[in-house]
Amino acid sequence: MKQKTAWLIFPCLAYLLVMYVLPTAIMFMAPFEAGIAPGLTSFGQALQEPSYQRVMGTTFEISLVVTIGCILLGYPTAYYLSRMETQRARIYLMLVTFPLWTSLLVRTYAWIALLQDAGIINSFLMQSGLTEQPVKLLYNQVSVAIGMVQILLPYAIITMYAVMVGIRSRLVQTAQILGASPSRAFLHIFVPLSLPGLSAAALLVFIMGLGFFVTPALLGGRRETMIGTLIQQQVVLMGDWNSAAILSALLLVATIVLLGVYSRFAKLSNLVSVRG
Amino acid sequence: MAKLSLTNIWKTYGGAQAVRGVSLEVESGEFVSFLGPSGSGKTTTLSMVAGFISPTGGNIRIDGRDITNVPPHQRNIGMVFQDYSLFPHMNVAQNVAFPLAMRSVDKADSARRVSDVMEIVGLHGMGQRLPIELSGGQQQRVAIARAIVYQPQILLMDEPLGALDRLLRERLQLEIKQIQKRLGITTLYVTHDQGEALTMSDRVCVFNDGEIAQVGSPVSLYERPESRFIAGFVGESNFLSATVEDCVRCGDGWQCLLVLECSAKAKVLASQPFSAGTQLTASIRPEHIRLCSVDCAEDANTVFVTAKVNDVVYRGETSTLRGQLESGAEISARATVTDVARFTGETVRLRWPTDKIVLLNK
Ligand SMILES: Nc1ncnc2c1ncn2[C@@H]1O[C@H](COP(=O)(O)OP(=O)(O)OP(=O)(O)O)[C@@H](O)[C@H]1O
Ligand SMILES: [Mg+2]
Repeated sequence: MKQKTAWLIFPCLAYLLVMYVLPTAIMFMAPFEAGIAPGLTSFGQALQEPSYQRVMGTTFEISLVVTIGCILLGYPTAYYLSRMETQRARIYLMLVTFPLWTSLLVRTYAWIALLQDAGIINSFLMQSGLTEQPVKLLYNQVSVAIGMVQILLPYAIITMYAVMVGIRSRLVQTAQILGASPSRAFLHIFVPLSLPGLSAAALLVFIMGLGFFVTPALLGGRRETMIGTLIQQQVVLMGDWNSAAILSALLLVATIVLLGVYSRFAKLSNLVSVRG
Repeated sequence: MAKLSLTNIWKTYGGAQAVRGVSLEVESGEFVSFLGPSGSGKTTTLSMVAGFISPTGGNIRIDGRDITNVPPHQRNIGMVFQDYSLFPHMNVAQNVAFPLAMRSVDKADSARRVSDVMEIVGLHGMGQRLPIELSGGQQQRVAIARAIVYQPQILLMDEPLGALDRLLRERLQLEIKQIQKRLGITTLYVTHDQGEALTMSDRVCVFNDGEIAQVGSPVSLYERPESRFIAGFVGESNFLSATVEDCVRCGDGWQCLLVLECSAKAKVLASQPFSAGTQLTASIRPEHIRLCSVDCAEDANTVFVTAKVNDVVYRGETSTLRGQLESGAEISARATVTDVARFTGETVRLRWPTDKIVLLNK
């Protein structure tokens, strides 16, 4: 594929090279220099240390929960939008992306206002007599998951919508005239054809979830420390650049592995889903 | 297999009337095609038979059973679309087996039936291919196989050959007709190719503006059009205004003397008497109009006119002369001789037998 316009991507490539690839490379090198500060000095150490293992476990767990949440909420929404006429869908899609226009920090603080003991939800629960004591909604996995799902949901919806909108209703109709009830037509035709969108959305949300640090730091307790939060703490609180670099590298490797697995899987699904 | 009746079907979208009072009886095993200009309501009518949209009024029956409110998957109808509508994530065999799977037909029986219909549509051995690995013609064969494998009571086809080239289309026309005859399946076939409708159908149902303009055998539509629309839409026609001079009894019909707009006179048989002075339209097919050489004899059963030839269109086996009568009316005639191009710009005599004139109300 030789295009004369290829030079158009050079500025962007140069930017990424200087601002991303180079620092990453330097970061990979850094930990292997003499360990000045106490802390991690190698990947092996990071993987063996129980406290790090726990943080990584938590990170994967929360990302997984968030991914499932985004798919469960996003799939029906994306389906609904994809069956709408384009004009109206465009307006709805804008509403879906609306939260992205607000700072992530602001939205996270908003959740604190909502979920805290004296927050709106608890005041409502207590005033209506449903509970006597405030329900513990904040600083646990639930609050972290709620906050992250809210932030990542638009990405999931848009990714799935993009694939679903290409699935013509005609195919589902055809299945029905051939003898499939509406639910079976959906299950046998629409769902398989929408899987590439679903898997892309799941991967996107999962990878983005792995790197979160503000939301778990503000909405979670100590036990909800995710790898991103830990990295930030290592740098800001401890000044331990070595550990931070090693953890960042681990995060990057995990992401690349996931992408690698996905790209093999996605190629297979593309084969059968083009021209849905 | 099954008799289909549509009774006074209406479909309105907001204020717009897409189908207006369509009634039609389709006999068991009959092949009826829907012909008509774009937007005349063919697809809408077919979709109501399929159950994709529900009529605003009227009802639909199969063998007397009212299915107007039965959902599509319980109608036992087969359908083929112009865009094939094959399931892209299933191979050919899975596509064809889909309706059987939905009917819980057991594996062995299903495999046998799939292979039988694949044989019928001439796709033997292609079961493992994906739809995107097939040509348009092959994809449509798969769609046909999938629509007949469960022996539906009725087969609906919406411009199934619309996306194919002419040669392939003609071949598939024959094949579809053969399959339809062999299975004896009641078929509704939408097309806007009148040649296709005339060659394939037992009856043609011509739609215009949401209504049925005329239903009949291909011969009756072509030779006895009931309106100017039909005469112009099914084949080509010349229209000349005619004034009735008088009518006399003749056998069990009437014979009317007409004055055509080119002041030629013609005696034409009519099924009813018209009072003197009635304005009618005389319709004549171009292939019935002949060029007249100098010595062509006067004859009571022939109409003669003079026309100025404006241009001659060469079409291979025939040529079409387009000309103008003294009255200003356009007229076109078919000539089977090849060197008629020399008449361009000249004034010629044209003739046609009076019994080829079809009388239409204004
Ligand atoms: N969903 C709809 N909403 C509003 N109007 C519609 C809708 N579907 C069809 N129509 C209108 O109903 C009329 C009949 O449409 P239909 O598709 O039946 O035409 P058709 O005879 O199949 O035409 P073609 O030969 O172009 O396929 C058209 O005027 C069309 O604009
Ligand atoms: Mg149509």
